[in-house]
Amino acid sequence: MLTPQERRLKILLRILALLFGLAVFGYLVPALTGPLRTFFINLPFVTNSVVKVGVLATLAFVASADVRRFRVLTLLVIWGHIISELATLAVLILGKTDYHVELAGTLIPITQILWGSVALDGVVLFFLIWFYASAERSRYDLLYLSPLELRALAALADVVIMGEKEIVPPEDVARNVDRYLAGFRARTKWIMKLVLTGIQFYPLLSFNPPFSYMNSEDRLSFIKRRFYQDVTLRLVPSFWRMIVQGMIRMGKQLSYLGYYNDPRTFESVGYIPFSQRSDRAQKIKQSPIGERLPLRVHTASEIVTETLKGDVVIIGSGAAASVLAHGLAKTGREVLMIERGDYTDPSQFSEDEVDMISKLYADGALQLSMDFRFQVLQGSCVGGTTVVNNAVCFDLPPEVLDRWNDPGSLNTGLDSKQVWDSFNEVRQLIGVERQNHQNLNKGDGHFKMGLAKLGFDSPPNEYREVQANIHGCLGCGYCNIGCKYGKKLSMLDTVLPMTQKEFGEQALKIVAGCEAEKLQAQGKRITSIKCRFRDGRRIDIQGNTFVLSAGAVSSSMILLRSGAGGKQAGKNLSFNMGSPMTAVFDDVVNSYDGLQISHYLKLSPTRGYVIETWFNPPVAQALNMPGWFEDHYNNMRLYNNMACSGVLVGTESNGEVRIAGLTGREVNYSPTPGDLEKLLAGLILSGEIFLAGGAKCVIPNTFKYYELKNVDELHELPNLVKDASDITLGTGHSQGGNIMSRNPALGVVNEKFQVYGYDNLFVCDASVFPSSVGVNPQLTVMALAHYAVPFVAQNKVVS
Amino acid sequence: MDEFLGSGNGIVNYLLVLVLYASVFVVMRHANPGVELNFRRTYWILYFGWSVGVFIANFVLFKLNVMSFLPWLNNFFHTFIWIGLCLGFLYAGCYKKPFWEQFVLFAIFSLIVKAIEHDLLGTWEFENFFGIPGNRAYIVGWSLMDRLYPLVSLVGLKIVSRYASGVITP
Repeated sequence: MLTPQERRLKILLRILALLFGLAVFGYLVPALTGPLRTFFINLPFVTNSVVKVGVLATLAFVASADVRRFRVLTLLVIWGHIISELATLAVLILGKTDYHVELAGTLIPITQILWGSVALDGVVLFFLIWFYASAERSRYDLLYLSPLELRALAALADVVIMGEKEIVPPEDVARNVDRYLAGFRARTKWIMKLVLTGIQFYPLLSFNPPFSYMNSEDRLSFIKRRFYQDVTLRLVPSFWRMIVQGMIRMGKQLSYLGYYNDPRTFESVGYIPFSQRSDRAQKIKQSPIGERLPLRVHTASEIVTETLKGDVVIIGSGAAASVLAHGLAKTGREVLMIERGDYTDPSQFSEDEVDMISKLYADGALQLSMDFRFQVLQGSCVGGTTVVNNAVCFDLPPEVLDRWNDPGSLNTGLDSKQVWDSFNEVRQLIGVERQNHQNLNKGDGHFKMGLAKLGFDSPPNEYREVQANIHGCLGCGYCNIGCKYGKKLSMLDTVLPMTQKEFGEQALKIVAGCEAEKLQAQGKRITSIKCRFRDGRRIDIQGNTFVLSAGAVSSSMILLRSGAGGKQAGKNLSFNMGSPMTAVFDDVVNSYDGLQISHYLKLSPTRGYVIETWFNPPVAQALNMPGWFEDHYNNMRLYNNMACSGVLVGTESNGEVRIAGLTGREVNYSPTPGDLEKLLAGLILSGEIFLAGGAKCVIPNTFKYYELKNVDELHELPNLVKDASDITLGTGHSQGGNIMSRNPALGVVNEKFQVYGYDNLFVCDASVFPSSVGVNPQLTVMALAHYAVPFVAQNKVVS
Repeated sequence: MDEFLGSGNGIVNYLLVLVLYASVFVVMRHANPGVELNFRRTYWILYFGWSVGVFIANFVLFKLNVMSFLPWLNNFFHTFIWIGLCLGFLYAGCYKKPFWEQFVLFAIFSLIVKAIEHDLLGTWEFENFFGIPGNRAYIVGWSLMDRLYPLVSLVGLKIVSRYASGVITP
């Protein structure tokens, strides 16, 4: 059944077919007979014109027969007109047009005839494009993608998800993605459109038809050749390789999102959502779901003024911001908290991974380094990353604090005793406890077995359950998409509502969906911060004291955009760089059915990395699953026969945040050879442990697919991964950017968290870390925020 | 017209002068990419103080016969763009450095600009610098005078800061 817009196109094509058909006679008849014969017979273009309009008439006629089936013919009619317009304009500009032709006794300038042709073709072209575009839109009824992008994605999904018994047809995959993207609250999601358009037209560079026009076999071989071989064999220049790699990585990820988030696929991968697991009721009985404390959050629609005034303005609402707000409220200062992300009430948390990523990560899910090879994940919602992290808590390694305090180098000037006191206070505040319960990651059994065989399970090595601000975990495995059951004690569940309850709503006012853009100053005093709501409305936030607690990347960006923080702002960025190792077992493991990160391995003496057992629900696992085409598909079918570990390396501080790139927000980072070496060593050890624990193979997340079946193959890894482009790297732990030091030439903030050169501006989050802490940094972020409270509280600037 | 552009000068000469300023600015920016937020108010105070002050002073000194006449457009460019924008920018980046370092920076940059303006526009042509004979002495002399920018700014800002808030006094 055609839509009204398609029927309109059909009628237009019929009319055009008729007109073009008449035009054939219009050119031909006068040239053969009649009074104008002399004129027409002398025109060499008459035969060409007859051919042109004849072909257009045929194309339009056939296209009108079935505008869906012969869609491409309509496109050919459009292209024919575009070429005609360009050719005529070229003649007008470059050709000899200073003569007249005689028509029925009248001399007509040739330019007039040519302009007439341009106008006529222009009108036809205008209506054709208009009717064609609206017909396409109405046919697909799309929410975000264009028909072209949808077809490119469907064509891609057709070849990247391949195997026996595919459950979701490629067009459904593309439609799913369209729906997800429409609801995705990220400003930078247009990059996805760019990627899909790029994939569609990339084949033109090698004289192939656009991607979706190729047949399935050609498309597959094109992807294998241009996106896989060219990259793995380094057949194209490195810049081009980076673009191609980025394009296919995003394209694949979109396909996996569309496929594996569809509940129809769950059974095929052996995944059962928590709501349908047989032991759910029993688990909830053992650990009942309690009442959540209410949290009052203001949204854009509630704020109608152009300015808002607060006492202490905190940008961000995550780990540091919340602890700081709580401490400040205790001292009697009133906090106005500005959060870029939206507020999602925990009652709206669901098991739908993509929906939750959209709500809780938004742009934080699309944050990539400038070479598209390193993903920097960040929660973007009220509660910040604490809502979506694994809540793993480690103390700051004492040797790291010593290094920070070394007067000869970083010289942070932190009072060690006070810092450790703050750690203890924060542990109490957020309820940190050892996760030694029954609902742990089930992949741990094999890992532990392997450890024992290799002799790594005894002191001084440390293999234990993690400590986390989680109480009464049900093992649903949804830590990274927001704990629906209130067991993860994120800032959204604890510190923020607690602060409002203890000190009143006026002590902590939270405004969500409002992005801080630029600071305004009068000399050394910050007067306000310019912010923008999601709908584009701007607001000026005024206050006495300003604290940036938006995370390493965002706090750096605010300083950079404002021109504050000196030359060091945005520099010395470091990470806990991570990469997974996936192990495949003969037996069913069901790693998804339990706490996502439940154990860690710390070797002594340290080798520069920590290993954590880790697993995800299907979409996140599919995005991290090694393999292409059938390999990826088959691996996903072994989803519940798998276990995973993540290797974390505290990197050197060689990263940088810059105002650059397509989004004006660029993370410039490439791991140093030393850091990559540590990571590979960690992956090898991790693989050895799994192999010793009974894995039939282990799979690193390399761009080229490798199944490593024994230790010898595993030790080849450094030869297989020549640089960072050969392996998938990511982090949720960005640190540095505005580092702390008593030396103003080195640091952005002093030992009191105060930005050099400003009386009332502070930075308090992981961006002040002078180096990577090498372990999950959440607790250190909170402890330092607790430590910073007196400095911010004492900052009373007279207006 | 000669009074405005200078004898024999056209738009191209002045465009080249702008290119010169831009090039020197790129060099300055290499060490200090922007004016720090806390210094912006101070920067604009310096801008207006120096631009207007020197624009008038150049003419007054010409009348006192210690300077050559600067065609009006050259005077405007030199004071409102070079001294106001560029030297202010240089100062914003180096005011925390020792005075001797600031003196060297200001003198060198001024010498480069004056010498090239002399070549491009034929200005900065005078027979002596307060009795020291030679055009070279004149150009070098005034360049050395420009190194006083930091010192004069320091004094000026101290005075201004008594009456205006948000002014940074080095």
